Amino acid sequence: MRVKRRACGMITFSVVAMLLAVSASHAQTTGITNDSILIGNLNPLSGSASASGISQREGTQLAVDEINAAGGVHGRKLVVTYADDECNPVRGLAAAKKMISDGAFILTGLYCSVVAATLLPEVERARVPLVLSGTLTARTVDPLNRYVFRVVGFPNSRDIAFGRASYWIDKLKATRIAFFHQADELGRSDIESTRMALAKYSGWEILALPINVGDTDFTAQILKAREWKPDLVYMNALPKEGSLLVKQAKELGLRGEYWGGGSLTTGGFYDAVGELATGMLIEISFSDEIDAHTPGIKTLHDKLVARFGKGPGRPNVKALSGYYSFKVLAEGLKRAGRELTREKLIAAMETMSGVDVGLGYPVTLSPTNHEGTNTLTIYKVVSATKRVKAVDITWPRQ
Amino acid sequence: MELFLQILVQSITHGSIYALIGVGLVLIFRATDLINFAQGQLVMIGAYISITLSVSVGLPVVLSFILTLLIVAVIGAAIEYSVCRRLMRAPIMNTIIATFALGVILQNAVILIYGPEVYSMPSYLPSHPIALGGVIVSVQSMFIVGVTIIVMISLFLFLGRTKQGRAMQGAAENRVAAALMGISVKRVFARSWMLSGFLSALAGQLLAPVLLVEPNMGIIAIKSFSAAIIGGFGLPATVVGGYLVSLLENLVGVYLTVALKDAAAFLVIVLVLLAKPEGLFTRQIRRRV
Repeated sequence: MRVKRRACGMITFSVVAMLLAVSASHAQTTGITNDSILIGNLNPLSGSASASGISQREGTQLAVDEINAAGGVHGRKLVVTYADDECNPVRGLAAAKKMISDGAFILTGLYCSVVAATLLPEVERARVPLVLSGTLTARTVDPLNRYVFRVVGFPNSRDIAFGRASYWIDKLKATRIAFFHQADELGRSDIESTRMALAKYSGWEILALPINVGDTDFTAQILKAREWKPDLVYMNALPKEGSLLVKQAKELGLRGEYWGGGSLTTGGFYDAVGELATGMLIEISFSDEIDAHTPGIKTLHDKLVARFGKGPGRPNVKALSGYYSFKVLAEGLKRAGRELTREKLIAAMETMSGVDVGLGYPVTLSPTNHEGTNTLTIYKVVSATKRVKAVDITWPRQ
Repeated sequence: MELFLQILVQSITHGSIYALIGVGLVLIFRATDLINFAQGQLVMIGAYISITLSVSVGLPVVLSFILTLLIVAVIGAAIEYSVCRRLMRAPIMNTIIATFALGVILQNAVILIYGPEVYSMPSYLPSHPIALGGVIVSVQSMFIVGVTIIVMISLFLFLGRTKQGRAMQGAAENRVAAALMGISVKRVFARSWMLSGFLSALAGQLLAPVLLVEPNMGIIAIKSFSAAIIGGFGLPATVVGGYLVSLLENLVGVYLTVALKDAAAFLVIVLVLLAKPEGLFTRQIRRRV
């Protein structure tokens, strides 16, 4: 009787162990069939950030079409499902969960930092890799989340803060910085990182001026700044709010060196602001459709226009980010091999060193660093239709 | 002192917009007892029609301006005829939901036609601001305030000195008595909605070069609701309410904290509704039952 009970226990244990192993390995290959890989892609396709989100999706679609036209990756076509996160964390999380439950092998995309920050625990819980095409917050890569890769062609806000701080103090000799930032995850991350970066210097002051997504009147913030008399005016907001902020600041006579953050100038900023942007220094990684001097970018721009036409503020640099990140992802899938699993993809992505997908801004990743870029390019706005490169700021990788 | 004067200038500009939209709201409410939750969407439609006629179609600015006013006025009348007239005897909640739903429908229709993107409307006025002492004023701001003043004066003259205007006032005071005196109440309703549409289109066109034209731009009407509540849904009082809301926002934002800027106007609404629900500038009228 005792022997029988022990045998039953061992059989039960073995069956349970087998089931767990099968489900774990199934989870590793969910979304993969013989001839396809299911990928979820989230972007803000409506609301303030829609011009950037739609452009990012278009860049993604173009990359996917090119990859599939060339036979896919190891004989598997990329099948991408798109969802609108509305730049809203609740909706973004719901959309991501649905994609995961529908069997997506990986998640991609994202533009809004607040949505990305909300998804981090979910992708870790579900063990689903997330390859970011956008977002600025450093929270996606610090602390390291082994499921999240940031391959945007543009550094995160923490790295940018450290890079620009040295430029502000050493080159621009700025000491009074009016800091317009979004009153959300992105903005908080931005100002915290900037304060940390400036901590090693002395004699500087920051006036923090939060703005809300959806606001259209920034009179109070601008007048406060004007009264304070800054020598540098930093602005980082989504394109719609950012355009209005620059317009109103210039109209109300806010003086100082104007410095635009990476979110500002995508999605129709130059159309809206026109000549008022002249003289601004702008953080940007990819050249936009006007100054596309890199051959690969010019060709890509032409392809985007041919395929999707032009819209208000589109195509813009976010299309390049969407395209770029998917080409990097394709390289990772290629390196992972035909016997593809999520763990193998993660390991393969971490082997990339100086990988150039034809747009410049080579990607380097490792088991301790999932941030692909360590260079910030600063452009100067010369006129409503012309930007020239001012400087490349580079820093050592962590 | 310069800072305060600048706040005042900005408040007068924004307050003018709140006042225009608020008066449109009040006209409908006083005539029909209906609060139009789609007022902001009428503003948005005005901006979109304006940008379509002036930029896409290429009509001269003045012609496009006038046509937009007329088109949205007609849209207002169409809404009155097709939606509101049929809800005259419906419970108040039904009418509130109906206008709210209408707003959503209008916004989604715009997204369907134009997409969710943001459009930039060129300003046809000189863009360089003028410095008056230490205070900066833009030509667009002066235009907004000037047009608002002229339109408000014209509106009050129309309501007070013309037969149609007095008929509208009468119907607003007592619909039954007005009908007994031979005033066509249905015509009054239609005129109220047309005027409201006209004012919304005007606000939309004044706003379009200042803000960006996008489906959510009608949200500015929330401030006009505040103005109407502060003014007790009275006509001149709503205009004052519009300027007060704008001034309060800016004073709180500059002298206290930006975080409370929007909350300030809503806090005042709550206080007004608790202390003087008939509005700051209106006497309470007790109805005999």
